Amino acid sequence: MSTSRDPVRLFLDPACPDSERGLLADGVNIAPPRGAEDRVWLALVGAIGVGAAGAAAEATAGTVTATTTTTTSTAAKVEAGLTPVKIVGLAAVLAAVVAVATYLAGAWGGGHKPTSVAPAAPAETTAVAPPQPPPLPPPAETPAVDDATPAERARPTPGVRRSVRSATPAAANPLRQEITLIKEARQALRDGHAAHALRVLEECRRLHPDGVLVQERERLTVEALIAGGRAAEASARAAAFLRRYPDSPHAGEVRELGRKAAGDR
Amino acid sequence: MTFEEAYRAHFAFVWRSLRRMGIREEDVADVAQEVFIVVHRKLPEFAGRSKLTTWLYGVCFRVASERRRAAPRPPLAEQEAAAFIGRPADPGATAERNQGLAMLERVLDRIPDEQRAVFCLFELEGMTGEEIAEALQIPLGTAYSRLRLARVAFSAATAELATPGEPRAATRGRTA
Repeated sequence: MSTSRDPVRLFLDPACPDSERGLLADGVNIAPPRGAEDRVWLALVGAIGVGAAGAAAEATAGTVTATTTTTTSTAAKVEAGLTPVKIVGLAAVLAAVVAVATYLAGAWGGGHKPTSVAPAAPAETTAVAPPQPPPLPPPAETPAVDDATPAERARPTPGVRRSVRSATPAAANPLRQEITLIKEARQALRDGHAAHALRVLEECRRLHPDGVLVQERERLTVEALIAGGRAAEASARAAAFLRRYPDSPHAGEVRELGRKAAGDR
Repeated sequence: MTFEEAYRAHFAFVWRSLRRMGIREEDVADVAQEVFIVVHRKLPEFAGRSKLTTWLYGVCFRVASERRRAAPRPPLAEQEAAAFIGRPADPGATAERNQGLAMLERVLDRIPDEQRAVFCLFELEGMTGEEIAEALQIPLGTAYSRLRLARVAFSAATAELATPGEPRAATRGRTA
């Protein structure tokens, strides 16, 4: 690669005034603050489920400064007892989840804070619905999910707090809203509320039919169908996913889920 | 390269690139996350046709542009900028460095985004002209001409904002 036509960099030019050189040095030395890398990684784990549980535990035990008592104590135990950390333990995973939610609640400010870790407020459930795009028919090979019976719809899901999506205008930041929904679905699934997860995923499909996280959404849908005992649908859904996204980063996992679903039938 | 390997190897690059694009410190973790969500999706398509950093930079540039369109940020207050002027350089002090960074942001904000990108990649990241052309998907000649224009704007803004002794006059002159 020839660089012969490149001019001398300003920083190296003797004619560069000190005022400019000083600013350039500040720009060269920009670096993320301590812990930022692990905090963003944790947020990614929460949003799209990248990495294994071990990675989440590692990040949690490493540098996340926990802001809740639960997380602090768990992370401290992990740090004290097992170094280097490579744990796949329920406590560590839970700590990671709490840390992710706490971090996101703080980092995603600007009036759109997810409230999944905050005490559920009555106002949230009465929030005005956002303007919604006209419902699009689901793709033929991915049938719409409607897991809940009317009784389930009417019954509040215990232990799962509503996200702020009802109060968050979709237009403000569609990706952030989509991430919030995916996170809520993941959390519901972890808490064992498959029907609720499926409802959230369906809402995500309706609001973001061509969203950035469509593959994460479909993978979670397969998981939720399995968790809800709907193995046949899960299997069909997994097959549809693999036809549509054969090169997806989730393909291996979805294939595994499909096999599991086939075994459950 | 797995996604996590790419993340660990290039998180700092993404962070400083976004900061130099004008994403504020308080927003950069959020925007970096959005960048890596896109990277997670697109990494299988990357296929090593270019250097990973040049490809990553393109993702950063698009995500940052969308962010700016969605929520244009208010300019730094003139007084805030003036407060940094004429201070002695003290590279060892974090506070000074942060002030320097704020000043740099103020100067870079005066450079149009596309020229600013070329300027930062060349002067701060140390990329070659050809790498920059690839990262921004522009012809090499365009990269060079943007660099020339950006340098003129950088010098002018630095002279205006960082000339000791004249900050208030400069501020009044612009706002009058």
